[in-house]
Amino acid sequence: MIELQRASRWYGQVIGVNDVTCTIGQGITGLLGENGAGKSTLIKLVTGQLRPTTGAVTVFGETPFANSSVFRRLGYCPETDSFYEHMSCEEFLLLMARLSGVPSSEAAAVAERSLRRVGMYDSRKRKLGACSKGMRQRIRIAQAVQHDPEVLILDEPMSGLDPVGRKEMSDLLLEFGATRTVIISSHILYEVEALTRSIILLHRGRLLAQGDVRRIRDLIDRHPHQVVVETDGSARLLAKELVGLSSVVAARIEGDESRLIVETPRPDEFYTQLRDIVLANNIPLRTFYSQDNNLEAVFRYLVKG
Amino acid sequence: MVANIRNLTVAYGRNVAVSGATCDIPEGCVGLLGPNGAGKTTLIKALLGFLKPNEGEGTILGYDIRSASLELRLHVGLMPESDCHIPGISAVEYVALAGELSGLPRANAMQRAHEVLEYCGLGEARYRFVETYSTGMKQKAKIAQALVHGPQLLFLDEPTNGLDPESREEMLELIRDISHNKGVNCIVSSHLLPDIERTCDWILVMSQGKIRSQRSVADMKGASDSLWDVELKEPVESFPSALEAKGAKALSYFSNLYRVEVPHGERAAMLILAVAREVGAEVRGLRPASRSLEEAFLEAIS
Amino acid sequence: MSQDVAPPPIADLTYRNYDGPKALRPLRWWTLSRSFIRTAMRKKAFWVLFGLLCMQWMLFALFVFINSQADQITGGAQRQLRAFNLANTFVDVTDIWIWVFAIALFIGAGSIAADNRANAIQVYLSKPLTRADYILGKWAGMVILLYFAQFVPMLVAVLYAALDQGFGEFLSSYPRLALVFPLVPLIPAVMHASMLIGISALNRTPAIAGIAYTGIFIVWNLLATAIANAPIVADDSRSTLLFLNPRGVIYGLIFNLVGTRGTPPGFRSELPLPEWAPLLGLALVLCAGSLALAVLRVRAVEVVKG
Repeated sequence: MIELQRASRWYGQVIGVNDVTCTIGQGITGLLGENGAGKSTLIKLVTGQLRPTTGAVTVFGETPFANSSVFRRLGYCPETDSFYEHMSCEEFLLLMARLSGVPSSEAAAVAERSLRRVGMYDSRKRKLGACSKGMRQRIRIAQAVQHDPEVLILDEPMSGLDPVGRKEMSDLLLEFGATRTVIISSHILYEVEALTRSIILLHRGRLLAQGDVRRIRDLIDRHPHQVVVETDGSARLLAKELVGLSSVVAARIEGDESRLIVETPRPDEFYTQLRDIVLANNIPLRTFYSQDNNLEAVFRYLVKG
Repeated sequence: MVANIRNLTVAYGRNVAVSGATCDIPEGCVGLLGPNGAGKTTLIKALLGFLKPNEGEGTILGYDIRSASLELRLHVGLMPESDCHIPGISAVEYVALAGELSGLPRANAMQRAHEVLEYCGLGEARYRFVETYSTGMKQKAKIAQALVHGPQLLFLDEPTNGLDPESREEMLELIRDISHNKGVNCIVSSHLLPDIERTCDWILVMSQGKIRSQRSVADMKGASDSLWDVELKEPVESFPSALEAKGAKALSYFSNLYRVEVPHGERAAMLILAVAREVGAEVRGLRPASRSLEEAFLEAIS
Repeated sequence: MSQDVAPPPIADLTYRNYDGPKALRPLRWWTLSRSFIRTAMRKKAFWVLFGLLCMQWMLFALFVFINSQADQITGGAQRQLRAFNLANTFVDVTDIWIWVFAIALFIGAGSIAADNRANAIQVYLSKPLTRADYILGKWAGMVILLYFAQFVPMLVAVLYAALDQGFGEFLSSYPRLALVFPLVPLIPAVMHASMLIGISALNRTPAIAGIAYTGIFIVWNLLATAIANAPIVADDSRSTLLFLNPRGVIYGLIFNLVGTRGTPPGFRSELPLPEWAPLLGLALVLCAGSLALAVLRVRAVEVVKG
């Protein structure tokens, strides 16, 4: 659906994105990176606000730049907070619907439906200038989804929303992601993680990683998986047992001697061996979990090295 | 206790923003949660003396919020949510001015400014103007100006706003350090529940102007000893039924995550691992189940 | 800290609690004024403009010098120069409004506008500082800076003139000038400070505030001149009407204070001294009005946004 072929974009001497090649298909993809990594530039290239300096960007097989047929099928929820403050929520959504190609006969119904969907129907007459941050965010999301786009691009979609709103938005995005292409750019990694396992990580303009988080994690050899193991008995005794396993490269006793951190480069092998050894020797294991098998750890390892 | 509030009511005309709030805020790090419009901001404004409450009273660190509001600000620091700084001067000059305005003599203020900026992670950058800073650095400068006068209580309003993952990590670490190791009490208002979970020990939930609950995080999450969260590498269809055959019960499952109830007296780990081996599932995580803070929060406000 | 306990080998350089002096100041706003003055005095442009203001007073010293050399010159020129009057020359030089205006604009245009843009008032008000302290601090800082920027070169020049004539001679010839000249810089200082604080508070961009003030200052002056020249106007109110504008108020009040109009060129030389009462009235309205605008604007700032 969205394809970048060796796309680069720079501003004078500052590089925005540098030689990025990737394909984004149906489902939810997380777009991650530090501030200044090139996420906004990538989004601007895909939403047709910028042209790549070299390389190619195609959406639905066409170049998105100033291409209204692409715009009709694309929804964009930007991060910047700026509206026509004098308009009411209703008027604004009506305007955006019509700009997105919704025929004027249906525009009012579309706007109303989207107001209800984001929970802003009761406040529809309120001027945008008088709306709180959370309300403005809901309107921003509404204008992006209301014309039923095939591709949805959201930059920090949850900002300003309270926990209730975040949950509602997550559900909405999961619903969309089931049938469409959704790209979510966010710094709140645990939220991205709850929505998808597929990520694109940019670092200083270059594509650092793409694909399934789990697969990426397994490929980071420099940081073996860290598994926390807690036991009712002695952690030291358990440590002795575990260090004997072929898949374990290090064991560390933490805190008050009941907690063990085990490092393993081959997690599948380790978990199987752990299970067997616990069942065979009746070890009083209480809990175990991996503390760095999540998106935050992957991000940290890749970006900080 | 860091603060005591009795029957506080604050209204803007006919709109009652905070109604009959009564609570005792303990030392350490307290999280302030609530939906938008719950009255959290109004409560903070009243506590810091920016608003006169219509009814009720409160003391913070022993200072009455109605009568000693200026003096209160000598001992309280505020890290506001929005972007703010004093323009046209370097960061160290800015933080020193913040210290001076809080009653420190100039020399002490300068010394403190350097110390605090160092602690907040702004090295050489402190000699530059704040206008040239990135978002992460601006947040650090903001927290530095709140800490410069050595407050005993720090209010942090959405401290991780706009920060990338690395800076968020640093900020949360700093808040945890300062509240747990350095004795500075914190009140953190945030919509990001995991942030609150990570830094706070006590939670205040507000909704529709009232305080709905004030409990410790552990209390809210309520770990149980017969419920366990099991994470498999990939979801396995036969896992729940195999568990039932052994006397356990799979209470809910989402993708590869299962909540399992194990009857008392049984070794949960042994049982679950044995079942997993039977169905050929790889267990990647086994922990006592606790409610996520999100669940607890939603329950508190409903 | 006990002296007998040796310090640990590795110092803890992380955050430590502050246990030094910390107290509510009796004059809370003074810290802000000090900071304002300090920041302004760090800027090179301020000193350049100050230098130009000093040049203005060197002119005064030059006139005094030329006059004192008058004995060497013979003939008709001597008769003309004998008409030299120190007070008139003082007033003529003071009437050069541009450099004080430039300094005021430079330090004042951004005084509150820059704070609006950077949202600084949130920071200020979260400290033990009221809104009144904030405005008073900025205002006092501007007034003090503008006062001394004018007074220092003025003092040097007047002292030179006094020494040149001899102190006794000077005091007996120009008693009023000797008495009031320290008050003269106060008038432009207070007027510029008040009006600029007001305009600055209404804007988010220092440049716009500066342009707005310049515009008001110059255009109103032109308007007043045009009205004063109009044939409909009664002759005895021409003088006062001419001065009924910000610039006119400043210099009109100075003329009244010193007691002379100096030696203005053109049609103004025929006009008498303007009446001080209406000028003072307008001055008070302008100052109070501007400060009221500043108060209203600052009052609208919410420290913790809802």
